[in-house]
Amino acid sequence: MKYAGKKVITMIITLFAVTLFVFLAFHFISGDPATSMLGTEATPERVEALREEMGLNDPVLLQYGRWALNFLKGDMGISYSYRMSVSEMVADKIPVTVTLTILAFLMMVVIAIPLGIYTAKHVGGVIDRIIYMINQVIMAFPPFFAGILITLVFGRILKLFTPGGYVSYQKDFFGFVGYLIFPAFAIALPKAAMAVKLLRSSVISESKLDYVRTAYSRGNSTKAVLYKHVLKNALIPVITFLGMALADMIAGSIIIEQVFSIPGLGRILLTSISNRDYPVVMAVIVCISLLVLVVNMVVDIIYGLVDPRISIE
Amino acid sequence: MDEKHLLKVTDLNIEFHDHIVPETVVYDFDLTLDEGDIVGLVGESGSGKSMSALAIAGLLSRKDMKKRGEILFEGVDLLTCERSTLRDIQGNDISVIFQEPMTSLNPVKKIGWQVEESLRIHTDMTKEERYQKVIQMLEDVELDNPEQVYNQYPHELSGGMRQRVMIAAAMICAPKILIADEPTTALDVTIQAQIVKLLKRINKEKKTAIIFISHDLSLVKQICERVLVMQGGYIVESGLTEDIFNNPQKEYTKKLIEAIPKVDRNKKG
Repeated sequence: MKYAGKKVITMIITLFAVTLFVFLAFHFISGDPATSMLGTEATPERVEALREEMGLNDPVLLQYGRWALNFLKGDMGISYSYRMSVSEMVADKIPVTVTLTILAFLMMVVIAIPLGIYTAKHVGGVIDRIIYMINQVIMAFPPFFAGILITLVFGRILKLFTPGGYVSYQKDFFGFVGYLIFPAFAIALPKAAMAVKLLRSSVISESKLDYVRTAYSRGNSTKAVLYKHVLKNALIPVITFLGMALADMIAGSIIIEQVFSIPGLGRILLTSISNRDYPVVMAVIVCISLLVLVVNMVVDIIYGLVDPRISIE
Repeated sequence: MDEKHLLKVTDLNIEFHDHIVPETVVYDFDLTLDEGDIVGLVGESGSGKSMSALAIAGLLSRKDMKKRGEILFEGVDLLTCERSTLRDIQGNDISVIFQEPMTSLNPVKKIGWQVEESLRIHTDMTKEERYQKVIQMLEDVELDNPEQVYNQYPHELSGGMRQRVMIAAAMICAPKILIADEPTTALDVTIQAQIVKLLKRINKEKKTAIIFISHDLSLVKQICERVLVMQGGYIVESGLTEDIFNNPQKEYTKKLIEAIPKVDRNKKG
């Protein structure tokens, strides 16, 4: 319980720091919400009047305080450019990004764990070497490039999905998930390649430790040693990586959503940044940071469960 | 006559080729062992004593190893028999305890699980029977609160306790041969004495034959009836412990004996 309390306090402090930073950053970059709302043709007087009305002439910390206070009250404000409630806009997008990330994460795990184990078991074999080479190439792919390549191969050539043919989850959930499979694959691929490499080397180095020799001395078969002794130990560093990868995927989905025209958090984040629509930007940032923080907490808990040497107290 | 021996190692030669330069580790190694024997294997590190022991325990990688000779355990050659036959013997008839009790136990598994592992592999005992047996075994190696230890993890125990756990795990199937590879080297002196006493008791009560490997001759003197002295992969001297200590033939053996720190009682009252 004490642990949970501590974690929640850390999370609140982190959220505070993140939002303050983003707010300040926005203040210092060029561009003005009033101008982008009114257009470049507007007279300076009108812009100035609107700035005054929006409270943009107040000191930046006062503006931040006002935003934070409203946020705590559950009011995320009105979008400057869409003139609609931010909470509504964002709530609508969260399921999209979350589904995309979960799909990508599952794919990464499903690809990486069996392949990592297989390559570790057959070190130096032909398949190990082939996978190693493919891995090196895939790791060097930026996700957007993987996205483009997947669109080309699976969308245009094999016609397994319609590029740009996004289906809303409110309309057809399965169609929605079906469309997300390939974008998720683009996100998962480079991370899976890294995870394979990590798990492979982790299994190999664990296999050289003394307790493995002990396990053999009791009459365990190679398979039993691997699955009953080595694997749990070898997974410990991999769990850390998977946690980091998941956090990274949430943030990384921004680009993939752009490539595959998926209306998720990432897309409205990008449009609102260019429109200087900060109520929306702030709300999306809060969502993304919250997701990342929750993921980190879950990883910590899993870590404690797998490795008895780490107590979560 | 020969077939009557529990273990008979003849002309064992082991070479490894996993590096560019072949590392030859053991030459012309011979050893016979009968029920209740305690034989010491001594020598400096790199003398081939551990390698010979690992060969007897079947723990050397067959792939990278070039070998000659035979290791007959009750008539079965452990160097050439089927792997499944070897596995049936490992942990059941021949057990090993290692030098580092810190790292020889799996850090993420409970003590109870590790101690009963050989039972799970080699017997059809039920969970409850295994539990009872483990508790009894932990008591037998003089651990307090066996029920508590059962549910602990290795990092929660001291070095001496861990080595007792290792012994309990090795003895759980009542093996005929126990190979103790420098079992006390990583422990402090008082714990060393306790572990040696425990091994002696096990040998006496259960008639388990013990191969005791050490570079510490004073320990070997305390526990072993027979000694093999190894140097550079060869057995340079062997015989009854008493004879070797009183009348060492080889320079090397003399040096090893001289290296034992002596307590001179006359000097300082």
